[in-house]
Amino acid sequence: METLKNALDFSDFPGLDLTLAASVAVFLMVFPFFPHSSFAMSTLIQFLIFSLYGMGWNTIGGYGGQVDLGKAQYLGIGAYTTAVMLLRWDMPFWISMPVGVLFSVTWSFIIGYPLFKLKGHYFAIATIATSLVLKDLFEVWDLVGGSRGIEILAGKYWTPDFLHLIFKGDTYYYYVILGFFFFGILFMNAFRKSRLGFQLRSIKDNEDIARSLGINAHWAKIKTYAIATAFVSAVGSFHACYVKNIEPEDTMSLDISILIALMAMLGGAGSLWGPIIGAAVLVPLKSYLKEWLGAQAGMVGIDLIIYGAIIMIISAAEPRGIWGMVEKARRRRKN
Amino acid sequence: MALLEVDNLTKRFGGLTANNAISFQVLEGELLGLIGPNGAGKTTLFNCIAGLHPIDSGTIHFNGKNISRLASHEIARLGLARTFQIMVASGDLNVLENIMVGCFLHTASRMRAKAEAARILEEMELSDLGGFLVSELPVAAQKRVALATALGTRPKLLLLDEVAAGLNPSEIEAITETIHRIHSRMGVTVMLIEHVMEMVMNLSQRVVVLDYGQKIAEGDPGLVVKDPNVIKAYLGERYAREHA
Repeated sequence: METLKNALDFSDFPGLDLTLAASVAVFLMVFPFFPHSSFAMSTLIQFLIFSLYGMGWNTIGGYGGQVDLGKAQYLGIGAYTTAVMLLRWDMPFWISMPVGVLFSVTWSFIIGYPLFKLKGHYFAIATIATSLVLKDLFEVWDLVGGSRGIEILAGKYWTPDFLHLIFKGDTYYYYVILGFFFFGILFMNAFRKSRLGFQLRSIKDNEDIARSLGINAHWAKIKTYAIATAFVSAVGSFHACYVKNIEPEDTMSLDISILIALMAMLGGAGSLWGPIIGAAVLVPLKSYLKEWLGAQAGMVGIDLIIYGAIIMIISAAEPRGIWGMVEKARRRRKN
Repeated sequence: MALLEVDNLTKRFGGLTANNAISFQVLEGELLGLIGPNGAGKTTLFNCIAGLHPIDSGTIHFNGKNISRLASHEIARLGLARTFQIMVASGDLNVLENIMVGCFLHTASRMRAKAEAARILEEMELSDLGGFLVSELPVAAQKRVALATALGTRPKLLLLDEVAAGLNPSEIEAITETIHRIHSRMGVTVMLIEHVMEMVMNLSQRVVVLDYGQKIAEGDPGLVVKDPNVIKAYLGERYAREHA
């Protein structure tokens, strides 16, 4: 009950933020009714998807300060679970998604226990390693189609199929992921005010102090990692139904993991709006770069250079990202 | 009855013996001072008791339970809290929320943690500062926040690490008063590390003196400061002359 109240209570934000947030929410809800290009539609869906990944990352990476660069493995587990269950047993999305989350969370506990014995850069590197190992395994695993991946054949379903989440038009997908998006915001709003949210912020600043206040730092991190994982896995399941063609290289690559972390960090790690702001900046940039680079031979990889530059600028200028700058300016004006 | 019982505690860092076979007790309801020159091993001793450093040998009993091998969060849950020389639970959180981090040890409810934190704030005369970040406060107020954060965990025994460091005389007087209140009114047993001798003499019912990792004296503060070993190791001849 109290959690629900916390989720719905945004009163600690100034009126300006809430007005802006409400305008964006209204815009997102009515957008499909206005004339738009399919490029704009797919970019917005990507924005919502990456916002959600970023929100998940933000729990452990932002509030908890544990830089996790292996989120793509959970995207893969979620996407593959849904795709395989759909192809083999015709399972509805609403069953395969929770099953995928269950697999992901189980896997996150298994690797989280040793991972969180590591600190700082060692932790980040280890998350990359686990993710890459899992990707390699998927590439040689015949059940999931090896490196060719799996294709969901939409032809045999009567669309719109809300049970299996198979649609012809993007608009349906848009509203489903928009629902996820609003749920994600409410969840994060409750999370940041919860006991675990407070404990994590303490762990981020100084683990010795956190532990001396009775916080089991190791367990708190593992729990939060599982929450982040559940987010990414659920959206990964959606991703499978949306793109219908998944391969390890697309869903589980290091690029995806880095993008997820980067969006949250650019927008503002450890803040409610940060991942959304980051996705709003980076997703259009990513789409544009992809389109632009497609026409330029020999320029492959320049997107990585740009992401790398962004990481360096954030860590040098303002580790708390765009939202950190806003908050700093506000505090200055207040004092 | 002894609330804390340290028996033959030894802690080494490589070749350096930071605490060498130290034994002492803190009685229930007592206020014990721990003094000694810089590098004597006072903070290390606190860290060993609070479970931040694994100890090499000896035992520590708290409230009748052997805590020598417990993790620090388990020790905190038994009711042993310590403050750090610089103690901010989280720089992102304001003062009230920092204290809530401690209060969350006993409740998962945000409302209850908030109510308890507000009560502690009031008791510590910090009510006006609840909305500030800890980094925006003067040092004296930061020290109070450290005390308040530790109190949020409802400790039976509070280990205070140099809460008066960096304060001016009137601020020292105020925080001495506060510690006195925590001890007598709230019934918390206190053990404190302090370099400000006036404060130690005013507050402590008993003191333990460390030098080079060894316990060199223990007892009534008035008598300990006359001990030639203590004068030689820590207080200096001048202190002895002036306070003779």
